[in-house]
Amino acid sequence: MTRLPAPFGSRLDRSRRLAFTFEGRRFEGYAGDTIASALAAGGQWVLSRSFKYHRPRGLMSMAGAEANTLVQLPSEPNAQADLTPLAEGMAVTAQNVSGSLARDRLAVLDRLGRFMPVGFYYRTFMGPTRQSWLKLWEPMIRRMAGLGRIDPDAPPRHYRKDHLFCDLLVVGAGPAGLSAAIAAAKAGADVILCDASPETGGSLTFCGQAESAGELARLRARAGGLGRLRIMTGTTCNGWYEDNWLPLISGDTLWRTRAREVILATGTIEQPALFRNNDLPGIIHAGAAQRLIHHYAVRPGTRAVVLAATPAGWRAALDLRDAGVALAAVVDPRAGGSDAGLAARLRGEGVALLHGTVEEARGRHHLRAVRAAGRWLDCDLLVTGAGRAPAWQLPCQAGGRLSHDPSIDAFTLEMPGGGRAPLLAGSVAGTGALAATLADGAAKGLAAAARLGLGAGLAAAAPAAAPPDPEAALANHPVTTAPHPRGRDFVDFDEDLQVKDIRNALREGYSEIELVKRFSTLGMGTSQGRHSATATARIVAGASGRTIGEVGVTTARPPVGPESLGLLAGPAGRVERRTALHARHLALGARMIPAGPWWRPALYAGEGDTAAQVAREVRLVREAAGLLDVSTLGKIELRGPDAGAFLDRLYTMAHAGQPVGRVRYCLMLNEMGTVIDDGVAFRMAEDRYYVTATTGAVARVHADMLFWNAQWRMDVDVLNMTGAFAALNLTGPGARAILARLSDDIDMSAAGFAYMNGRIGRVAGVPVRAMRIGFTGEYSCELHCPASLAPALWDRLLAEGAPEGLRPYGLEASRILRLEKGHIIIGQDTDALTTPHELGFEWALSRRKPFYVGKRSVEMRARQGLSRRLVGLDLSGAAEIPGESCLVLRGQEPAGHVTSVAQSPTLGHAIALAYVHAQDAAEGSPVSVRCRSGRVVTVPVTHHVFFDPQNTRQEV
Amino acid sequence: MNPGPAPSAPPSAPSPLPAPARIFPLDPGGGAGPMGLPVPGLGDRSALARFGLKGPGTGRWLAMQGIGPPPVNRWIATSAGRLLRLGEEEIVFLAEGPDLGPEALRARWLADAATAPRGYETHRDEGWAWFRLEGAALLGQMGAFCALDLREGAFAPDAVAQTRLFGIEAVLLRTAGATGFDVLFDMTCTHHVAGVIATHVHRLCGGG
Repeated sequence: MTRLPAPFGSRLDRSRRLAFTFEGRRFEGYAGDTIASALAAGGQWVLSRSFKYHRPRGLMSMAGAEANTLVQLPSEPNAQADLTPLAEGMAVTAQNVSGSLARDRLAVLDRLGRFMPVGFYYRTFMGPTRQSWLKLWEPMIRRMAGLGRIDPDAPPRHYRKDHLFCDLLVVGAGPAGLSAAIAAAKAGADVILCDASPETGGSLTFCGQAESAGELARLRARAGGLGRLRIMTGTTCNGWYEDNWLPLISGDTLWRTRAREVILATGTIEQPALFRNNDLPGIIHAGAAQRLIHHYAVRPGTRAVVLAATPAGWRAALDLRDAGVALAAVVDPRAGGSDAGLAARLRGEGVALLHGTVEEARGRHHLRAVRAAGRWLDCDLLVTGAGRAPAWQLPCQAGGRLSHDPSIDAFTLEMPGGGRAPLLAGSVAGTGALAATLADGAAKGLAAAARLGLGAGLAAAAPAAAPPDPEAALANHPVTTAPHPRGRDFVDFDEDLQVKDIRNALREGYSEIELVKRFSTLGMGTSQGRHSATATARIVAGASGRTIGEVGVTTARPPVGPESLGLLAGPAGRVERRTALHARHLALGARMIPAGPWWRPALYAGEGDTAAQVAREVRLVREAAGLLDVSTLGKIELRGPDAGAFLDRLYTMAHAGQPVGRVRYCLMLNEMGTVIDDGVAFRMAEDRYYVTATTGAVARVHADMLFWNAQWRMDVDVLNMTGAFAALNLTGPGARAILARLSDDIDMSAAGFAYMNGRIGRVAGVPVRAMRIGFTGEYSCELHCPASLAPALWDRLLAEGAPEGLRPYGLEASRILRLEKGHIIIGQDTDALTTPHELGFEWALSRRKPFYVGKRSVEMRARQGLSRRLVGLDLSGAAEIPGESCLVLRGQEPAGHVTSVAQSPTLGHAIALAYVHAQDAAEGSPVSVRCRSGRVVTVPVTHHVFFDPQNTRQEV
Repeated sequence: MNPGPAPSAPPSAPSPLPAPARIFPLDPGGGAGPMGLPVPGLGDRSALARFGLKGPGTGRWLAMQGIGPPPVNRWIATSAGRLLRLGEEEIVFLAEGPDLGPEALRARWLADAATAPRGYETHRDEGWAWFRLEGAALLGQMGAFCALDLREGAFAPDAVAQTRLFGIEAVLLRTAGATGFDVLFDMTCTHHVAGVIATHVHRLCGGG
């Protein structure tokens, strides 16, 4: 163990030891450890194998910014080992490994790099080699691709979405964020301060300077006393969207947050140095070393070299010294040094200070030596303070632009003007020294309060002059971008891209940064360019003669970091709708099935298998009387002087002249002339129609009606009353007698209430809208009534209908009954191109009306001729029954497909509706259908009305 | 109940049986099934009277009754119950309790067939369920149900929001005493809404 004594390890609870395994080997850590810190304490630095070359990789940033630290947990792939808290009994394994982590068979790929040039996908998918994709590469890549394994048996997690609102959201609880939040809250703003870390303080929590500790304590004390300040640690702000909508993720909760103002105090991202073998375990960023030491009490090595191109590098060297790590050398590439004061302290202690840079590293599974300033130095740790870039992801999503100041070689952010863009505070805005960062945070907090109309005069009272900030000019040092002759100088660690790969992409002609990304996959890995974007900008600028600012970085898009699909999908909450008769169906033993959002009875309990039960319900309707809950039908009321004219424009038939008391079929087209819905319209009064729509389409039909009503500005009101009214279909030879007994005031006789008529009255004391229509082919009457009264009507009908043998029937029987009668179901027997002519519905198209939606298109399409027709298929002699969607062939070419098929209990054989070639549509024409087994059966076309084509039963 | 005019019906004959009982989704035998009210603080007011009108003439008819509607998306208290204005020409009255204020108004509207235009009935007593959410535990979870900023000051006591709650469209307003929220939503989604609330609250209580 390499644990340091307290006060090192600020996040550890040393009273709680946690045992866990990694790759089957037992380790121990403390509560408060991350997986990576505990492994590092146990001497395990290799955490994974790299994506392409399977090189050993370990932690680098300790900030969750690279793929190196992705590990497999039993029920979670791609866990970030440097951020994931350790837990007792954790079984952690490595990913992207063939064999074992220590002996990865695919490590041989590291020697075959010259055969794996950049732009693999482009080269493979284009040109003469594209045919090799399916045969050679696809199977191979399928075997090798993907990181981690999904556990389908993992216990379910409960994800939650919630909403937050605030005056000001401050992202980042480092010194600048804390200062900003405190200043704004004191000015009266309702502030949320969030940070992905488990504690506030940011860099103050791991910079070992006494000044930092004191300032951190002061900031926390001030923040804790402010009631208007909500602090959310362990919370990642994962994106910025329009109108300051920001998703905050805390564990399995997604907080959808709306803020009037936003301050981004997201800090900076340390950048890696470019040199050969810069990916070896044991090479870490300065911040990673400091986090290991101060948060987790891990001594990261025994003998270190420090690349100190910035003051952060020098501070890390001091922290290493304090942690007992021997300093082999501190290497500073700046001619004048990166921090004279800190350098002097180390020089006084006899530490070798070299002018130069790190040129190469060596080691197999861990760093053993580096060559710096021209000489090899034995070490097991290289700490790089090579430079930093502002965390540009959120600012750029909010409209900012990452630029570059060549005078100090600093990357800078420019936010759009106009006063509505988020404010930047602290190091993301370019500050360096602590005093300057604190002052900037406070100033931005006051500025945000002023935008909110709070704290008048406070901004003016703030110090006019910012504190001196000598460190701001030392944020970056121009590192070499020349490729090492032997390569392995990685620019993008996630994708195993080296300097030469970027240069080769440029030579191929991909000179723009976005094209370089697409050709090389640069920035497409876990880090999303955090460690590669600025280096690539330098390489591209150097090779193309442009400035770094002109080259820029690739577009930053949400999410900022990884987020689980469960978080986006959950909580599971599929909307479901139930009719007023749901409990009645359950009480009768109905088997309920979903139909869109609705639950509907498929069939009711009975003897025999499903087919026998359905057949019995079909016979019930054909021979006695059946009752079906059709409450899910769309029900729309149109009222007003223009209601008839409005319907005339929407539907294909004539409705303005429809007599009061009559029901007429409605066919709706879209502007392409495609059939999108059908139903019936009952004219209840001169200015009042009751229109039905299909269950699945009513929402769209209603929306279309509202749209067209707004367009046409007619004097008509549209009311969707689908949920307000229930509907029952009473059908069968015995139905009329039942209704006649129960009707209070409607003449149910054949003469008094004919087919395609509607009446308003009472049945069994319940007010109803009754329509004599037919979907089953038998006498049918639909009774529409207020939903709260539907159970009473249902009960009375079933009770009074007993002499006629009345029983309920379900959706399965209904579908067969309508197929026997040749009625189509929109969406099943139609598709996105179906025209009325293909259905044989020319009769439903008014020739007199000058206009209806889709009229012009449907006439143009009709003039082009038909390529298919919907017909009936007689399957009585078929050796095999094709399923729905099976292809209808003409020769060997598909000409159509089967849309509906069922075994008809009435006819005693299978029947189907299908699209066939228009030239095969004549009755008796043989057509070939390929069954699911692959067998082709030839069956005759028949009339689509299989049962009672003369309508003698339904129009009685 | 007004199912509309009867174009050819003979004069109504009185039904020999008692008037059929209305059953709402959470009632015994109702469409939501045997679930009851799953959470303390959640009240079902779906059986209380409501009367809605929309379309041309709505405001004019209200004025004839001596009722001045509030601005759109606001509510006021009237002698016929709380009056919500949902659009230029759309309103709904909610009974404050078991009173029949909205029903009395409906009767006047039905009797006033000679006035035209006078708006059209919207059947909100049949189409919209009505839940009341009260109590700190439930109100503290409103953010999980709704994307609106419901903080005091952001959502006025007399505000009406036509928004989405529980994944469906809904109308939201504060209760008369600002002790909670009233929610009006599609009656057929009653089981869904009660289930969402129950699932959420029970998970927060550790019920998994």
